[in-house]
Amino acid sequence: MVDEAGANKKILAMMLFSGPYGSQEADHMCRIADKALDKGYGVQIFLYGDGVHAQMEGQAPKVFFNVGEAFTKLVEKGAVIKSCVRCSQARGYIDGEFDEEQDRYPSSRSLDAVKIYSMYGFIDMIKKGDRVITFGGS
Amino acid sequence: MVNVVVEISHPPFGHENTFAALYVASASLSKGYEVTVILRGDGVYTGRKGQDEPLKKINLPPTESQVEDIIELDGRVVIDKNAMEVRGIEPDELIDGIEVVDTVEIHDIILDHEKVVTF
Repeated sequence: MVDEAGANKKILAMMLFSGPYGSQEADHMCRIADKALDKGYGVQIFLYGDGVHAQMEGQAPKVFFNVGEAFTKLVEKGAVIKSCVRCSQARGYIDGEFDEEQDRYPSSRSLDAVKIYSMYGFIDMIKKGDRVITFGGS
Repeated sequence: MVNVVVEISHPPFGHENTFAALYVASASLSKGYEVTVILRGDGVYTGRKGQDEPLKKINLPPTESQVEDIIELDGRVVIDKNAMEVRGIEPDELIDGIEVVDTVEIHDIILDHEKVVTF
């Protein structure tokens, strides 16, 4: 697909399972993703479980690394970020049914940079990823 | 063939991890991937059979039927023998089809795969 990160590149697939500020996992993941993009990898990120809170719009931490801003910058650099619809629905992010045209579930509370998607978005990343790594899973 | 390892070190209830992990395993199997689920640490409690209506009693999904479905779909589920022993879990208490393996074999499975998803 034209809009997928990393056509003809090695793909680094990453899953985030913890929230943006309860631990350093999201921060750590974003920095690795940025470095991977600099090294020429295609980067694909999936937010799962409490990891979907990292998609919230308007994040404004006073001292911590701003994960929301980092996501927007990563996508501008070519990363793809998707999040789990079921996890997002449970946490109040979903405004309606899947939008075929936008290729995402609508969410007024989520960053434009993050596409809320079915779980199969991650299963597809597992297939495409030359490396698959997990953050915040255990 | 896509090969994926799903590693679980949390117990079946109290955290979302195990449910979420088994969901990844099932979804991967449904796409034709080869799946190995590792139960280690407190994850070995997820290997025990005989859960009593967790959905009805504590509003949490039954991980036992998730594991059964994975085995039914030809997913491989292995459990750390050492982690079972220190928790007093006997092989005959396990869900049918789970393989009891030594810790070193779990290390080998992880080292032999490029795609390991950890919960």
